[in-house]
Amino acid sequence: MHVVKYIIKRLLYAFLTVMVLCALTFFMMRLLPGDPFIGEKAIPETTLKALNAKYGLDKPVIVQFFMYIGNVFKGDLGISMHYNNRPIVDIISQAFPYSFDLGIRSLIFATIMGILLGIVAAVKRGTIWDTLSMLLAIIGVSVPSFIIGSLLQYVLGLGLYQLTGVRIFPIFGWNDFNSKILPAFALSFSSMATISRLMRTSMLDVLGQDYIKTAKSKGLSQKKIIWKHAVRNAIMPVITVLGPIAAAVLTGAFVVENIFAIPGMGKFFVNSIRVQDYTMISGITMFYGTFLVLANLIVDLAYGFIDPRVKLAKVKE
Amino acid sequence: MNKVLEVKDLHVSFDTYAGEVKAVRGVSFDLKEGEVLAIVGESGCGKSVTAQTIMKLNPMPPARIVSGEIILADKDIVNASEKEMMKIRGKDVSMIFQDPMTCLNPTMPIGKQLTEAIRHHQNLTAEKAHEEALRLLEIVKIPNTKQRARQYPHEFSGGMRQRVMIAMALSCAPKVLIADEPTTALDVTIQAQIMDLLKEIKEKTNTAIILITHDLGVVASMSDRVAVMYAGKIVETGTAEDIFYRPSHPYTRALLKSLPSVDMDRSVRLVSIGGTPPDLLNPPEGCPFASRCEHAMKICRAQMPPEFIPEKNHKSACWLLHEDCPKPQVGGDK
Repeated sequence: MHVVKYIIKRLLYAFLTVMVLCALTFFMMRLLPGDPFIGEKAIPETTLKALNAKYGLDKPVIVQFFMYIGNVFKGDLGISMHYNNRPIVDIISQAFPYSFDLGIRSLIFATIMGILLGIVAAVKRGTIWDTLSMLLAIIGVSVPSFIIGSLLQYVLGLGLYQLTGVRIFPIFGWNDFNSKILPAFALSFSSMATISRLMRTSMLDVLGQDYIKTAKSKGLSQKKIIWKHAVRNAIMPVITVLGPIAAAVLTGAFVVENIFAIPGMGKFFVNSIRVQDYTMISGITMFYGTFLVLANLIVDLAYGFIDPRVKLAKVKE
Repeated sequence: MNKVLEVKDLHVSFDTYAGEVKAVRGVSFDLKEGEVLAIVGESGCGKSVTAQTIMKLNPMPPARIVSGEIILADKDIVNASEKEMMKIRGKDVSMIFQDPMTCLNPTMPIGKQLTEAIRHHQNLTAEKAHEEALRLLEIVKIPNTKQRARQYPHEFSGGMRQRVMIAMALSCAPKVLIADEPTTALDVTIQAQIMDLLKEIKEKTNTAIILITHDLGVVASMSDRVAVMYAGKIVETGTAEDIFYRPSHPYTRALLKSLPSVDMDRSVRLVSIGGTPPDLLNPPEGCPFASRCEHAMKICRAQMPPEFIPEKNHKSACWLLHEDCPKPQVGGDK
C-alpha cells in the first residue's frame, strides 16, 4: 500500500517539523528580554527565587529544554505561569472547541462561497457579476476582520434590532445558531476573498483549455461543461491554500473572538506573548504547528483524489 | 451523392482592440456524403476558424459571423441558437483537434468522457452507453477496452489519445467529421496509423471528412478534393490530382515547390515563399497573394480576381487564367 507508506513517512516528517518548531520557539522565547514574573510591582527577591524554582527556571536553559521535551512526550505541556497555575492542556481543551466550532463554520462558508464567486466571476468574465465578485474579493482582502466584525455588529446586530425590535443577530456571545452567524461571517470574509480570487484565475485558465472545447464540441451544455469538466480541474490551487487557511482559522482567531466575546483560543495566544507566559507560548505554538502540518498532509492527500495524475508515493517499477 | 454540408460566402471576423480582423473572407465549398475535403494553407490563413465556425465553437464575441450561410443537414445554422447547436454538435458534425495531449479532460476516465457524448445525444441507459463506448474503443483499435475505459488520459500515449478522440467524435455517427490537423502533434509512424484509421472509418461509415492540415503528404494520401486557403479566402479548389499535378494558382504552386522531397539533393536549400501574408486587419483590395507573387500584374493589386474554371471541378482565383492574359509558362517550376 503506497498511500499508507506515504502517510507514515509524512507523519514522521510532521513529527520532526513540530520538534524543530518546539526547539526554535523554546530558545527564541528565552532570548526575549524580561521574564514571566516582571510586573508593575516589584516582587521580593525571595518570592522570585521561589517562583523560579517552582517553574524550573533556575536551571540552565538546555536542561530546561530537555525537561520540557520529556514532559511533552508524556502529554504534559506544563502549567501556565500567568493563569493561576492552570495546566496548558486544560486551557487548550477548554478553549479549542469554541475556536474550532467558529473556525469550521467560517471555513465551510468561505470555501463554498469563495468557489462559487470565483466560478461566477470567471464564467461571466467582463460582466457586472465579475466586477461585483472581484470588488467583494478586494474588500475581503484589504479590510481587516475587526472592521468587518464591528460593522456587522452595528448594522446587522444593532441596526436590525432597532428596526424590528427583535434580537435577530446577537451582538456577542456563542450560544444558539443565530449568535454564531455574525462571527463566522466576519472570520470567513478574508478567506472567502482569497479563495474566490484564486478560483477565478484558475477557472479562466481551465476554460481556455482544449478539453473544454472538446466538451463543447460534444454538444454539452455550458452548465455541464463547467460543473463536470472545469471545476474539478480548476480547484487545485484552492485546495492548496485551504491547508494554511484551515490551520489559521481553526486554531483561534484573536480579533474576531475578542470582538464577539467568544471564549476561544485566540486571546491565550496573544496574551501569552504579552506576559511572556513561556509554557503557554510553547504549548499553543506546538498545537498550531501540529495542526498546520496535518492540514497540509490532508491537502496533499486530497490532490491524489482530485487529480489522478498526482502520484503520492514513488511507485517502484 | 447527397450534399451534407454547404458553406456559402462565409465571412467571419474577430473584434479586437486593434479593430476588426477579417479572418475568413468569403469562403464557399460543399461536401458530399463520404467525401474527404482537405483544406490546406499556412498558419493563420483561416482554416481552423472556418472549421470551428461550422460548429460555432469560436467564442462569440470576439468572433462574429458577418455574413454567409452554413447549411448542415438542410438547415442554415448561422442563426441557430446555442440550444439548437447543442443538438447539432457531436451528432451531425463532430471534430477532432490538433493536440490529443490537451484535448481530453485529465481528471475524468476516458470511458466516462466517451459515454458522456453518447448519453447526451442518444437515449441510452448508463450500461448500454458503456457497452457502446467499449465498442467504439474497439473500432479505433484500442486493446483491453474494459480496463482502458477506466483509465485516465495520462495513462495513454499521444496516438492512443487521438484514437480516443476519434472514437468520441464518431460516437453518434456524425454526417461530417472535422479533423483539425489531427496528426500535427504526433510523430510520423503514428501519423500514418491515424490516417489509416480515419480512412478505414470513412469507408465503413460513409462519414464526410473535412481534413484541415498543412501537411501536403497527408492531403495526397487521403483527400478526394482539396481547397487551398490563403488570407481568409479559398484561392484554388480541385481534385487532389488537379491540385498536385495541374496547380493553376501561383500560391498553390509555391506551396508545392516548398515541399521537400526524399530524393532531393542535400546541398539544395529548402524553398520558401518570400514575404509574409497580408495583415487581415486591413486586407488588400486585390489578390491577397499579389505582394508575394512572382507573376503579379497591375490588376492583381487593384481587384480581387473572380473564380476561373480551368477544367471541370477545378476552380482558381487568379487573373493569370483570364482569357486576355498572356499565357506564361506555368507548371514548369519543378
